[in-house]
Amino acid sequence: MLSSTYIRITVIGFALCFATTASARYIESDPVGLTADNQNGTANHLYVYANNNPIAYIDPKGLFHYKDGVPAAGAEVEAGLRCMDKELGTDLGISGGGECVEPHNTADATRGHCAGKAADISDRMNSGLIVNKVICAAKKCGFKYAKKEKDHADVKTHTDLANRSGDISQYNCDCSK
Amino acid sequence: MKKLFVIIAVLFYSAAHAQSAEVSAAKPTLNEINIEAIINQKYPSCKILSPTDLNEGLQSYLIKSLGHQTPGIVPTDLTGDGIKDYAVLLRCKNKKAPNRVTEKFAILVGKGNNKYDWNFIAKWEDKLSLDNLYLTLIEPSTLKDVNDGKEVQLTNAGVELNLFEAAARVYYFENGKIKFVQVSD
Repeated sequence: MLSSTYIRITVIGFALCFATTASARYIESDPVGLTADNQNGTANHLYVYANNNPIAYIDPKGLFHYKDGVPAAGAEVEAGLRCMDKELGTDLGISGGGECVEPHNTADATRGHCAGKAADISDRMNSGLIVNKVICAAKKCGFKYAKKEKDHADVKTHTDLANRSGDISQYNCDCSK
Repeated sequence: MKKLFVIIAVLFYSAAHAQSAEVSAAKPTLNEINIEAIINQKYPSCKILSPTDLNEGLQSYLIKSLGHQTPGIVPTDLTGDGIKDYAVLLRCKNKKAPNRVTEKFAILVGKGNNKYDWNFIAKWEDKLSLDNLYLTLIEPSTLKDVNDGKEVQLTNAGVELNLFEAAARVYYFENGKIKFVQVSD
């Protein structure tokens, strides 16, 4: 009798715990607000935490979310990402921020990731987002550099004068596409 | 109640079985077993990075998108002397702190008769790097550096060191020296 009760409580406890973890919701809405883009099927939800994947992603401020292990970028980049989050109407997934490790360019501590002046916007974590819209949003939100790379878009708050290919001021931005 | 336990047990067994099937498919070839033995002999606390060391997102990306499952080793002739070289990502245990892991990127330049010159290039201890680093082979081609825009012609194969969804460098040999091109940052 005792063991039967114990087993029943354990199973109910397991079920409750599972349901709580799976729900992964904030108790207050995302401060970015509701600007969902239902056309792309990327509608955001005010109570979703870390794109419904709390194990892989962290979202300490309830805005865009970093991949697990990624240190936060600098204040200027974070302000730009908050703006992009709102502009794109999604919970933006960030795969690179303030980390200063190889194979990033670690030689210049005044620019890029080592200076907290860059962020990487993962393709995989933002499935459904169109590159053109990401670059347009970056331009609207004050980034000076945006470029599509292998598996992510790279945004920076500065341009590299030696290589103008990512200079966002030269990007012909048609935000309707 | 018993039925519920049986169902849960079957689900856990299926998940574990599926995982082990994926891992077994990632076993290295005979050449890699040989180089693994050489590495073990020289650095017993180190092993070649395996797919299960990586986060699930990257595991899935490597299997589905790139179609290969050996993220920790690239066997190829990097120097162009006709002898196979190895680029490896090694996971090394810290003897004094068993819970700490260091990852190292090394290029073993083949000298023939199973002799290698070891070139350690970088090491990491942070979580992001430990979960997200992998290697890929780059065939001889023209590459462009994202930082300065300069083009580099690879006459031999190179090896790409990737930080998943964040950065990548291609390492190559030129006049006997190891150089790199920043292809993503």
